[in-house]
Amino acid sequence: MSIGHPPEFGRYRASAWLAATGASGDGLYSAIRYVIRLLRLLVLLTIWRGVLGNEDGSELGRVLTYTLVAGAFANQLDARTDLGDAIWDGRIATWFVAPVRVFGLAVANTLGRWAPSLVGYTIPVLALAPLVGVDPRPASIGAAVAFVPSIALAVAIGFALDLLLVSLMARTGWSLWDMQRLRVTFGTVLSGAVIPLGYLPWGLADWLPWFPLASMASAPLRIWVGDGDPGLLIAGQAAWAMIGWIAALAAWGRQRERLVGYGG
Amino acid sequence: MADGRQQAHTTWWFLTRVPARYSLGFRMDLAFVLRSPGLAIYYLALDAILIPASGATTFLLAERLTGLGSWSVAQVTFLLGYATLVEGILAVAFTYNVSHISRRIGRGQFDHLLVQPQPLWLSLLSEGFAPVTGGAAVAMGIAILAWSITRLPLDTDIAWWGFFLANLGASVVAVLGAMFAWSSLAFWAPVAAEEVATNVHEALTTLGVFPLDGLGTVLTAGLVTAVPAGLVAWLPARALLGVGATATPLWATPAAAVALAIIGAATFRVGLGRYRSVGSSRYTDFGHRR
Repeated sequence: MSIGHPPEFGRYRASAWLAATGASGDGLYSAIRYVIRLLRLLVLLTIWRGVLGNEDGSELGRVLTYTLVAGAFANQLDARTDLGDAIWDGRIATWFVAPVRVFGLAVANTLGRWAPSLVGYTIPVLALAPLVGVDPRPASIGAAVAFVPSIALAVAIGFALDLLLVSLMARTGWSLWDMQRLRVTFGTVLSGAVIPLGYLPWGLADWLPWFPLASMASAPLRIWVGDGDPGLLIAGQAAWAMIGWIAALAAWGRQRERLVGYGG
Repeated sequence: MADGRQQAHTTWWFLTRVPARYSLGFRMDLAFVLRSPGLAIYYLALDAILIPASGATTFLLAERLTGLGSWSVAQVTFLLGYATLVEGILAVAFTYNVSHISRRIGRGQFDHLLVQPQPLWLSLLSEGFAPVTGGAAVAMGIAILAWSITRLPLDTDIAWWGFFLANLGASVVAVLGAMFAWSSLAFWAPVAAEEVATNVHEALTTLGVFPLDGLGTVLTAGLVTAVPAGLVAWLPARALLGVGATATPLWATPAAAVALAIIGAATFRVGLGRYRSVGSSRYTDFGHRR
């Protein structure tokens, strides 16, 4: 490392800061995205009240809390970098000459972009939840403590899936938008990010929790509302994170030389 | 765009050109498919799976709970089929970022529309026609609707089908009206608002697949005006199926669509006025995406 250059962590931090300030620069236009997310959350809460109105109050409360926390942490429960976008629009060429690891830079950018959303959406939604009749608090202090490593593992699995899909994109030449649509469509239903897996029909609730998508959203949300054994859920997440990262690094190592940036 | 040749033609003359433009769009789309059948099958299959799947959450929940509120499973399925068909029509007739017009404005590609030797409205009406590659969603929408209708106690006479088609067209117009109105922001903020149409479209597609009953007056009003997700399928399906304690007029969605079309066109016109004075920064030295 030459004198005058910041250490590697400092470079990632600087990248994250740039991404955060860039995302903040959208100003009022970010608010449009927050309003849309809030509307969707309010619609989901209303639907749950409609369909579970006759259920035991604690079950309704748990589902409302689950839905609210899922909405508040939506970015983290479906963690995605913009590595695919960078390949698609040609920015990847500059990323490869940056003095940091390519995927590390993608992760730093993502973490930076999340910062304004955490301040402008996540925290206000959690703080103002009682105004819409939802108790946002975790089931217990233990649940709150366990939620931290659980959501960190959820993010790690999301990033591994992201790297796997980008590698697949590089291998096949498939469109970025199709990859994203595939992930969003199936991830939304099968991860438990919108409806708790226990409310899926046809016995899906029995086996979906064993899949990696459930470790991305369902596991941390179940821990927050006190549903299930946190130790077992976190162990399952750790296993999927390890498998996911081994597979992702192997796939990325093979495919990074095949990358074609499009630009435009 | 007012060269001498255009001034010599009437609006009616340009309207007669629409079938020829659609024919051209069809041939170009077919050529794309024939050039790479494998790729075309991939796109069609993906659309056939993913567009209806956007309503999978609603369907699975309805199936598990044997309905959602006053909506039976078959009625929810009708709503999802209707929403899929609306999305399919947009994919067939307004693709290539015609519906997502903020992208063209933000990227400076709006000039490409303005330099064509035909009125802007004709370009917008005909340029996004891709009936082959966009057809999968239409086919899926029709299939889901047909399946649901066989399970509903509906008296589907000619009048009902007339109202169905009127509501369907109105839903498409309402979505376009809202997307054009919001996209006008890109005339003032081309970079920040380049993707505003995407945000609005996402809101309409994600919220449009839910029965929106019981949301309260303010939210419901917002969801049939500013972000008209309720017009994508909920309000028309409610009217066509007679869901709810109080009947929804069959003309409600068409009336709302007319209002949104007027607002969308007026807002876009104001933005276009600004564009005439400031132009696009795309081709300047410091232009966006240069």
